[in-house]
Amino acid sequence: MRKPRGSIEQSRKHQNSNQAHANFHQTSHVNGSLGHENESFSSGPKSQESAAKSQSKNGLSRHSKASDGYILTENSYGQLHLAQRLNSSEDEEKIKSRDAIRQKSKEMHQKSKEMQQRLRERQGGVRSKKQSNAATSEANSSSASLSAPASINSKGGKERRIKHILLSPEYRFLSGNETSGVEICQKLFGITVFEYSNGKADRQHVYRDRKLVVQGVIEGSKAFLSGNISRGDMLIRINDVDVSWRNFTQLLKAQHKREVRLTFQSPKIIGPKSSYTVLQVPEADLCLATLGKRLAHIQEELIHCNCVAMYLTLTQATNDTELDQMEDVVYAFPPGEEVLTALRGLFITLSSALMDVVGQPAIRSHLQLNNSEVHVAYKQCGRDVLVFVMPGNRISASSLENVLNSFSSLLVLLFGDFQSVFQDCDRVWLDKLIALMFHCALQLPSSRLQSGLVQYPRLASMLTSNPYSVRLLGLPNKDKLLCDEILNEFESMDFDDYLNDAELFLRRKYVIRGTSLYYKGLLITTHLQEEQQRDVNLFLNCHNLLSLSSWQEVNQVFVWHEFKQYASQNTRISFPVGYKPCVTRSFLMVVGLHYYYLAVLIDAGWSPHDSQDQQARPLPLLVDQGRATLEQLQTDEVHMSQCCEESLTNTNLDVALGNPDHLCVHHSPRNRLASRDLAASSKSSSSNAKLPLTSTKMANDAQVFARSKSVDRMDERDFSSQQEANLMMRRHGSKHSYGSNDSGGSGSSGPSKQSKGSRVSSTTDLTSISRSLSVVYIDKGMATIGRLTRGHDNGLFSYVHLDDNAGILVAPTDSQVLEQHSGLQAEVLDNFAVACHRLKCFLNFSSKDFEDGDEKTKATFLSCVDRKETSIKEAGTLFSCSFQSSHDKRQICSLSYWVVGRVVESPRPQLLFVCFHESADQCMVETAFSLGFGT
Amino acid sequence: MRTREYENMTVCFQLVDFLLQQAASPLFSDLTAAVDVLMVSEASVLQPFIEALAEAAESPYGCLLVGGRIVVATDRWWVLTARELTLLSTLLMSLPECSARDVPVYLPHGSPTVPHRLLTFELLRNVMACVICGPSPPLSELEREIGRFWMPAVETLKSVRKTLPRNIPHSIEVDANILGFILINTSTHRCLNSVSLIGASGRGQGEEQACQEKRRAVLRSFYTMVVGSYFNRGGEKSGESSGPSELSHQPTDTYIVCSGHKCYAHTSGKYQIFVLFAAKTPTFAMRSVTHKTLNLVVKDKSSPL
Repeated sequence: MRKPRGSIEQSRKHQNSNQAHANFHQTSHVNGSLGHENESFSSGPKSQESAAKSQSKNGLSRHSKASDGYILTENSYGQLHLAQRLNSSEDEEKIKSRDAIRQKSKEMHQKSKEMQQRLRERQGGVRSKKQSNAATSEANSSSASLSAPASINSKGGKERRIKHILLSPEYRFLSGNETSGVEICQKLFGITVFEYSNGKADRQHVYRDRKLVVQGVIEGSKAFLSGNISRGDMLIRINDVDVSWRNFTQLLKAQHKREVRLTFQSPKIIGPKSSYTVLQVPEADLCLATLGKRLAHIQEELIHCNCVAMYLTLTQATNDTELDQMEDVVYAFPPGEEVLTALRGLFITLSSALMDVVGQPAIRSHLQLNNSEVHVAYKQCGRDVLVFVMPGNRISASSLENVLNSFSSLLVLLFGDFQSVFQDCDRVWLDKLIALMFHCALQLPSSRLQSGLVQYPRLASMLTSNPYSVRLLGLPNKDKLLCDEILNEFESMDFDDYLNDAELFLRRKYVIRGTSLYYKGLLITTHLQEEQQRDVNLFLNCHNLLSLSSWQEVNQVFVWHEFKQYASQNTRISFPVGYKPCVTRSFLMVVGLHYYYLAVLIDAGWSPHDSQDQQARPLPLLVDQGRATLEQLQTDEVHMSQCCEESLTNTNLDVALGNPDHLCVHHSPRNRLASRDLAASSKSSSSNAKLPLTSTKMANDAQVFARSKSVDRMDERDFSSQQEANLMMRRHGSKHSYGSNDSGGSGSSGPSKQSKGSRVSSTTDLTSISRSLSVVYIDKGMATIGRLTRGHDNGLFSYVHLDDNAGILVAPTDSQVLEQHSGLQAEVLDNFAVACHRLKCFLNFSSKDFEDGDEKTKATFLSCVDRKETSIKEAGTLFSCSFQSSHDKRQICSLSYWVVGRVVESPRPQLLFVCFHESADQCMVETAFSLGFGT
Repeated sequence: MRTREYENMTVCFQLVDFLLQQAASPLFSDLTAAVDVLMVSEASVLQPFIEALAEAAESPYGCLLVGGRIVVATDRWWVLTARELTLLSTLLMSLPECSARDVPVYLPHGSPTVPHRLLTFELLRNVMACVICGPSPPLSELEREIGRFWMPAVETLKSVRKTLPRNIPHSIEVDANILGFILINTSTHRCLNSVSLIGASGRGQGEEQACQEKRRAVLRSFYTMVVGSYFNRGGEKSGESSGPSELSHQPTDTYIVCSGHKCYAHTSGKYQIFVLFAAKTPTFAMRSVTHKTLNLVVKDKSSPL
């Protein structure tokens, strides 16, 4: 093992000297997370591309040439990776500081900024003389860097950040028989030092002169409370005695004073202001978990179908002498793509030229590439442009635009600044995210798509086309209230019982803004504001996490991500002079359990004297409580899954929807034309509409298929109804035991007590709303035709309620569709979906989906006339179909139905799509609209 | 060489200008690919006149245009394809007014290589008779005959001209809520339209003009919205995936409701009707009103469609 390393160092040095002038972009996450697999040094576009590619898959690409065979053989790179990094820490330091200085030199023009910087550095100098030296030397070198970049390398390496921390060791924790310094350190200070040896004693001497690096700080320890020690810091002195692995254990054992002065040297962090990001998914791979494919596999597929995502820049990063071919490509995915990457000059020119000429950014263009059409969508930001290219036969141009828009707004949401993302962001994560989004947008076959979830693709695709919204699970009020209660309990953060004394009196760092609960990818309830809910939906949809939960349990899923956009939003508001608001950062935490997701939006307050590098970690208590909240849903008293499954599969709970089969007009060919003119001719139809009918051969097939499906469903339902009976019994039991009216609910992980009594009768009450709604119909409707009532003669076929905040309610649900097994209905629903999509474009509703800049491109009804006057509030289309009856060939059946979309402005913008029979009375329709069709 | 081509092109400048300002044009033919017609009760009276003129010009092609809309035409004129019909009326609208002219035209389908002569004569202001003929007779010869041919019809022409802003006879009463409509026959490629059904009541000329232009713009955009997404474009089979073929059932009616107005479109057989309603119209009434209007116009004896 030693020999290869020698060669590594040699070749690396060689490389470094070669690249002394090179534009060496480097992304490093020194403070990367524990559960984060994406620790990678992706070398800049300059260094050998192919080599970097092959290694970036393994998370290692820093020293591309050097690492042949050594690292790659090891799969669990976590340990070895770090070892190698430390091994090269000296060189890295140089590179980092050089990089930093280069960046600094760019900012030299902004004098004010530099002044601030110096001021800060001087302030630091008060604390430590050494630091001030470093700071001035840095300032000197940065000013010199403009003329002589080479000279920086020698000076820049000296720049260090030193911090002294006084800690009182917890001697009482020592048992006395600790052998290693690591163990003692952990017990005394709560600091875990990274152990290189990994139990292999024979290697230890190799690491003798390595640095002592903090691997982690134990939550709640003294060191943690000081808040100043972070992962990656190097311990250099204890009580002003230089420390190394040689004397580490002895030094620690010799400590007896009440306070120990630890001196740390923090590494210079390049890259984004590290926020502690966690994305845990099953199988530790986002792509593998959600699509069942490896990233490399998806990359290949995408290359095959002419897809590429590129971030191109016009600004020459440096005035490097050696110009590389790929310099304008800041980011490209998939990496192997060549045909479209070669065309990037076209994209850059087009977007920048358009900006120069017409002053408006390019939005999309079309290319003819090898006889196949290719759509290109652009997102301009300054001199840079983000380009998505997708094949025209798989995706429409407008939906490509939507994909790009949602992607860019996700980046803005997560990182605040769109431009810096591609330079600094973790590329493995970015690769995976784009791979996922492309895969979903192109509807490539996924090995995860199981046959059990055959939905109506049109309806489904129409709904997923908007990444900001999710479907709503129409739970009965009682159940929804219960969920709300449980979430409220969690939101109150009444965890005092679970906190130890030290934490109890600390200022609370985290405040929950709101939560939302999902079951199998459907929204149950949300306590978030509309904008925030949309953002959370966007995050979950883009990561495909919602669909993941719809077919498998997501116990492993845990997400912790900062929403930087919210922080920058706060700063934009101008505050009165003298008032400096507390720096708040917002985080999204998603906890998965069974089929549930609990999405929590958390505000973390930072007082100004806290260091900015301070990482916001997920508070274990919060995570545990989140899980406990979800587990609470599963307790016998709540058994929310049952209720959810019930409303997913049961067809009788909702407002009963009519079956188009029963409303067909039967007539012989002779009077066919005559009856067409008669709008109300269907009045007599329901009486003779008893004949079952199928429209076409295809419909016939569909019917057979649907029937076989429904048989399965029936079995399941029988089973679940048996279970239901059992549970009813149990619930009765629990009512007796918990019968007291106990409203105090601070024990958040305990069984929820306040709900029992009310829930006993819930199954019978489930339909109360829908029933009351139907009563309205009966009262109003019976007098005329009685169409929009319950039952088979219902004139209401389908409805979709779009509400960005509350989610999307679709009726009939998938299982209802399967149950009714009619070819005609399938056709009607299919058509309904397409028509809804059209109407949605017309209704201008989606203008809010994107930022103001894109609003112009939306299908505005009329540009020359006052826009306010022409925004469409309601749009409808009457469809009619006629077909031969299967029994009597001479009989022609026809059906006419309306598809109407309406914008509801107040209390909040919502969109309602309805499909009903043409004979429905107008006042009934109006009533139904005002009641929201039972939503 | 270049100057000659330039000279050849100068003929088209008027047309190009006209095409550029098409949104302001009172015609819908550019949008609907159907030629604008005028519905008048005197059509049968005028038919012999135009046939006589065509005969005198030794040509089967003759038509009478009032305000750019065809009132009557010979049978052979109607045999021209929709494209030729719309191009001809567009050309005639674009040319400056003059008492008589002789323009060489190529008919894209009939004679794409050999030019024909398009002779036009202004009978009254806004009233124009035109024939397409071969090398003879010369314009001057025919011009001398014009007075003799059309003198007996002057009164009729004057009354025909009076229908002009309304485009349908005053005898046909449409619902008061209808502000304007486009009625298209997709098989004969004729299009009847109007945006001033109610007489200008007490409003100034300019105000009325602006009002009409706005209605026209709304109708135009409603047409673009509906055709291609719900209705088939007249005559052409849409092969696009995003067109009406994507829908599994045939859309027959569609409407939109805006704060300023309501629009309703209906298609039945070869007819497509697009109606602009006042905002106060009840939504549920639009369907029956539209159907009635369609029947009223189509079933009328004098219907030009």
